[in-house]
Amino acid sequence: MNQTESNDLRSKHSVTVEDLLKLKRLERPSPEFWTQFERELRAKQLAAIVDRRPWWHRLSRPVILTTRFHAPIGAVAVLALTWVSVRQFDGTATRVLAPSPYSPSHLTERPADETLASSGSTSATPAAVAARSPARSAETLALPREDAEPDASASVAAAPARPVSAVVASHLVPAPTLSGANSTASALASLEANLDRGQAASPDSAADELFAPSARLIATNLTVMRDGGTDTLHRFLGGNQDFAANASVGRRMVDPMVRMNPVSEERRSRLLAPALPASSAADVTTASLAERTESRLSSDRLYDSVSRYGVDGHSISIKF
Amino acid sequence: MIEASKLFGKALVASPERKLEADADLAVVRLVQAGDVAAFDRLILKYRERVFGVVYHMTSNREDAADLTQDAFIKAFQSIQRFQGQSSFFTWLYRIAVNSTLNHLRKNRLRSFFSLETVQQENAVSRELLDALTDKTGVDRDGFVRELQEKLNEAMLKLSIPHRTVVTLFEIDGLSHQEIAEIMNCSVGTVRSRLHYAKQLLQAELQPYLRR
Repeated sequence: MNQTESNDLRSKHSVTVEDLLKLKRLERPSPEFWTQFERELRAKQLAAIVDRRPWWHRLSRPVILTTRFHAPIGAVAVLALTWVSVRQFDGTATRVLAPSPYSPSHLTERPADETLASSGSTSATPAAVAARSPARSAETLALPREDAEPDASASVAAAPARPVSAVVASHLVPAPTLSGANSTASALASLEANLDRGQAASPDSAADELFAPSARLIATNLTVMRDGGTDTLHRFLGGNQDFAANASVGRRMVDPMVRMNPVSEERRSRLLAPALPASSAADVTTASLAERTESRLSSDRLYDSVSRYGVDGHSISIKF
Repeated sequence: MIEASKLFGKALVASPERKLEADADLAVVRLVQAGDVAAFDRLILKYRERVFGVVYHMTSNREDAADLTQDAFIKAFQSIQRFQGQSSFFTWLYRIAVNSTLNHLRKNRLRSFFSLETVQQENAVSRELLDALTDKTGVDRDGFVRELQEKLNEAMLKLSIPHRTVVTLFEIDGLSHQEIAEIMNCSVGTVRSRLHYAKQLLQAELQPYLRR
């Protein structure tokens, strides 16, 4: 602060915040303070020279030098992760949507080796069922592949009026929404009707002109499967249905009481006796009480009272 | 010498005195980087009061300010090989000190108490200033100065850390907006905005001591 500033302050006759803050400039340490300060700083400086810096300080230097590249590298990493995620998601979505047992791609592109390898599973694919069929032959069951039969592809390309997908789709039932055996039966009937109509309307020579080789192979396979037995065809159509459909078809009606854990007769009678209107005499034995209780409990009544009884492991809870 | 002047065009627009000062500092820094450890003492002697002043006005505690100033010089000494002259040594050293102080203040946000230096009233400039601030004399003036000093520090501590830093660097240490922006790693507009807001708060806090 110089003389001019002081004169300004005096002449203004007003004190502002800036003037008050100038007072802080006058807060200065004494010379003794600087002596001690220099002594302490010297000691710290020597300690810093003597002390070896930790090893990770050397590692941190390249990181500091590449600080300017952190943002671009991070952005590229995020973009790459996003791209990989989207790509994987698309692949998963395609895999989920694609497998319909009646889709042409499933019938035409699935290799026979793969179906044979998976023939042990419960969900039998059409090719796997065909592979297990006793009437199959290597020629008839050989599924056409693009790399195996270029002629077929060429013929498909040469038939623009009726592409393979249209021909195959006319022979196939749409992918079922399938709610049980009725859907399976209707799909089977529709497929057989289409197959018969195609054979009756067009003899072999006419069929050669109308249908592409791949469609003819599919029709042949279906014929073989039909001749092999209705059971094979049923398995072919029903093998890939969803779990609920299979479960609803295969499950028998079972009395819910049968599923309950068996309870000893003594415990059952003891627990049920207070819930019934009949009074239990003190001198009646447990065995006779159980007999009477069982005789009074009709099956319908017992079934109705199930909701009031809860079975949980080793105990039965009764709600009153 | 020319090297620092060229680099200053990119770093900040400085006065010719600052450029000369920066060139002289860079020459000393080159000596230290070459192995002349004693040359660093010249930089300590040159900047210790200013660095201490900044840290002291930010902390309002002389012991903390002394420790932080020493740590700033030690850090600068340890990292001087990394100093490439892209900014002036003065700015670089200030940045180290301010960042150390900010870290200290954030760590000890709940622990703050005064340990104030004595206001120098002996010299002529101080007397002139105090005459302008108060009409009192003698013991009354000493008491008034002490009270005003405490109120000032209380008001400063009520500011947020960035606002306090801007006020300290601009009003007390006399740095320009651009220098403050470079030290605090923010824009000049941010510096101006913070300065304006901080002055408003200080004016509200120090209203009894203001005279219109």
